[in-house]
Amino acid sequence: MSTLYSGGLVFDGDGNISKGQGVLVEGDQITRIADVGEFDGFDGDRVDTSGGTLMPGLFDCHVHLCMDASGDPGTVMDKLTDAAITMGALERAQINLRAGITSVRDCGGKDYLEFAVRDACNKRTFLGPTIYAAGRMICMTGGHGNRVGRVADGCDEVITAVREQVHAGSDFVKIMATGGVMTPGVNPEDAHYSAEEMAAGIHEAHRFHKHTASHAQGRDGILNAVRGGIDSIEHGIFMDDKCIEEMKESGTFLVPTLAAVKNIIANKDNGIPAYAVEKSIRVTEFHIASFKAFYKAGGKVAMGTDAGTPFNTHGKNTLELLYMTEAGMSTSDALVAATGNAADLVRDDSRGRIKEGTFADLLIVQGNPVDDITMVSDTANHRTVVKYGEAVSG
Amino acid sequence: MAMLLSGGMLFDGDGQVHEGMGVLVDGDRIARVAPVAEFANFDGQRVDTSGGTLLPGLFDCHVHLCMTASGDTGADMAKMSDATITMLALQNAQTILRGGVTSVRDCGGKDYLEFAVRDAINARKFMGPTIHAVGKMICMTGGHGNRVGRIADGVQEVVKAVREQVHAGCDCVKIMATGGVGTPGVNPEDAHYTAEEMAAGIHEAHRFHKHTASHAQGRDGILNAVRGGIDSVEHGIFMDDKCVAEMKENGTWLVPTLAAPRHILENPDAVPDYVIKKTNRVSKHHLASIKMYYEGGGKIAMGTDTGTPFNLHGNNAMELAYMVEAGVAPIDALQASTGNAADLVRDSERGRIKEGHYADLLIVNGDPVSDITMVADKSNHRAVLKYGELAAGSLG
Repeated sequence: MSTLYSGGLVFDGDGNISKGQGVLVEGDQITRIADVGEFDGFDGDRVDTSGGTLMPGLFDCHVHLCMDASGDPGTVMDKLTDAAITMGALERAQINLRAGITSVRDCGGKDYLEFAVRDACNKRTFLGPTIYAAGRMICMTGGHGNRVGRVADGCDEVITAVREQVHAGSDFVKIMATGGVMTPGVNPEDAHYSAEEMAAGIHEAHRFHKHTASHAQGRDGILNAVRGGIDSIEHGIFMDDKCIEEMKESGTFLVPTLAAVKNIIANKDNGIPAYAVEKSIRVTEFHIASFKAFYKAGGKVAMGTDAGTPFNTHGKNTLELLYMTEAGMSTSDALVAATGNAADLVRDDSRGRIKEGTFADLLIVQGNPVDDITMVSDTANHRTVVKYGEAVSG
Repeated sequence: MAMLLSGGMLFDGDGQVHEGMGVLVDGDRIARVAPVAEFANFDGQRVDTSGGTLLPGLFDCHVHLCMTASGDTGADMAKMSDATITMLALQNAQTILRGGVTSVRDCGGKDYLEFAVRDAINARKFMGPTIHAVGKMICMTGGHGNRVGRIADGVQEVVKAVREQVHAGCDCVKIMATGGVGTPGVNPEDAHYTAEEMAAGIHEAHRFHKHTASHAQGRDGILNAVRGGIDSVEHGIFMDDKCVAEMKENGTWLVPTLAAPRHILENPDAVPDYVIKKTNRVSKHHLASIKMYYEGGGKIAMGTDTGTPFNLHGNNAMELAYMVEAGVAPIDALQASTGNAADLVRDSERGRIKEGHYADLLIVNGDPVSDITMVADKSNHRAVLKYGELAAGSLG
C-alpha cells in the first residue's frame, strides 16, 4: 500500500523545515522524499497536508507505563494485580501513541510487567508506540525508586544488577545517581551511588551494548553519572557550570522532564504525599534555571516527561514542548529534542527523522510548529498520527 | 449516532427468521426493531444487509483465553511470564471477537490473569468480547485441570474453593466432575468428585448468585453434576438415556465442544500420546451423545474449548458446522449460539435482536439457516459489531 503525503510543510527531525516536498510511504517505510513534481504520475493513496506540517512521530524519552499518574501511583500499584498493571500499561502506551508519541522510553517499571507490553507492541501484535524499556531501576539501599527498583550496593552488586536487567531483556539500563522528589526520606540534592558505583554500572551496561540513563538531580550525583559515561541525565535539577561543561564535553543528553515537577506543584492539594510536594516546591526554580543554562550553553536535549508521575498524565506528553519553549528553548530545538535527538539517544536510526528507509512513524499537525509550538504541544492541533505507515484512530 | 440495518434477513436469537425488518442502532444499543417501512424518513447512517443476514453476535460458552492452542499448551504457559500470558489472553479475546463471537465464557484460566483482561474489556478500555470468567477450575487432587486449577477435596474444601472464586470476582463457577483427555493419568469415563462434593460446591455457587458449569465426560460424573444442580454440562461425552432424561428434567444445558476432540484427531502426532489415545477412545461416543441428546430435545449452548490443542481462537464459529454435521438443525445451532447461550450465562441484554439489547451484532452473507457455513466460515462474515461499533469487516 502506497501513500503520498504532500501539500504542506515537512519538518525533518534535524531542525529543517521545507515546502513543496512529497513524502512517499510504501508499506511501513518512508521510501522516497523529493520535490512533489517527481510524483506527478502517482496513482496510490494521497494525503493532503496543505496548511499543515508533516514531521516524525515524537519520542518521549521518559515515561513510566506502569504508573497511572494518580496522586500516589506507587500505592495504587500495590493494590493492583500484576495482570491489571499490565493491562493498564498497554492502555497507557496506546494513549501515548494517539497523542502523537510514536516511541517511548520506559524509565522503570514493575517486575518487568511492561516488557510483555513492549514485546506485544514491538512485534505489532497490538498497535502501540515503539517501546524501549529499562526494566528495573537500579538504586542503592533506601535510594530513589527502591520500592520497585533493584536495590544494589557496592560495585559488584551494581554490576550484578546491570547483568540482571540485560538478562531480563532490557533495551537500556537506568541507574539512580541521587535522591528524588517521589521517595520519602531522601533528598534530591544528595548523591546516592558513589562515583565508582556509577562508573561500574555504566561500564557494564555499555559493554553489553545498552545505553544508560541516570535519575540525577543533585550536582554531585550528576557529575558522578557524567564522569561514569552516562548517556542521559534525567531531570538534571541542580546543574552548575561544571556539570554543563562536562556534559557538553562528554556528549551527554539532558532529559529535562519539566512536566513532572510542574504537575506536582499544580496539584499540591490533590492527594499527592506531602513530602513530594514540599520537595517539588524546593527544587522547581533550580530545575528551570538549570535547563535554561544547559540549553544556552549548547547542551543536547532529548524530550521526556516522566509521564505516570502524579497528575503527569499519559497523553499530555506534548505539553513538554511548550514548557521547554517557555523556559527559553527555540521551537525548532524543542521539536528536534522530541525527534532526531531522541532517536540518537536511544540509538534508533530507523526512526525520528523524515528520511528514506526509515519507518513511517509520522505526525501531521495543523500550521507550522516552528512558528507556533502549540501546533504540536496542543493535541487538538494534531491531524493524524501514523505508526508503521498506518493512520492511528482515536 | 444512529444506524439503520435493513435489506436482508434477520435471525432474532429467539428461533425466528424474519424478512423485511429494519433494526435501528442508537449508540451502543438496539433502539428499535420494526418493519422497514417505519424507517422511511430515517436520514442517519444506513447499512444495507441485502443478500445477507443480520443476527446477534455469537456466544462461545467455553473458551480458555490463557491457552495457546499448541500441541502442549500447558508447557507453553509454564514458559511464559504472567504479563505475557495476560497480553496473549487479550490478543486471543480480540481474535475471537473478529471471528464473530461477541461474548465468551472463559472456563478456566491461570491465576486470574484473564480477570484483568475481562475487566479492561468489559469496562470498554479495549475492544473485545464480553467476558464471563470462572477463574480457577475446582478439581480434586489429581483431577483434570489440576495444573492450574484450585485443588480441593471433601465437601468443606470444595465449598471453600467456591468461596475463593467468588471472592476473586468470578462470574460463574466451574467444578470438574470427571477426568478428561488433556490430563495424564486420568480417565474421561471416571467420575472424580462424589455426588456430595458436586452438590455442595454447586449449592455454594448458586447461593452467591453464580451459575455453574462442570467438565463432565463420563456418565456417572454427568449424573453427579446434574443431580447437584449444575447449570451446564461441558463436553458430555458418555451420555445415556438417564443423563438425557435428568438433564431435560432439570433444565440443564449441554455445551458440546465438538471442536475440541476434532482438532486433536486432526493433529495426532503433535499432541502428547495420552491425549491422542484418550481422544480416539472417546470421540465417537461424543458424537453419538450429542446426537442423542439433541434428538431427545435437550437444551444446547454453543461452546468450543478454543485454546486446547489446535483448536484456534478465532475459528470459534466453525462449531456450528460441527453441530450441524452431528445432526443439529442449522436454526437450532444458531439458537444455541445466541439466545440460548445468553440464557445460560444469565445475560438478559445480549444474544437477541431486541429493543434495549446491546448492539452486539453479526452480518453474514446469504442465509445461514439454509447453509450454516454462512456463519460457520468467517470468510462469509460481512461485519462484526460490538456495542454498535465495527470490530471486523466493513459496513459499506
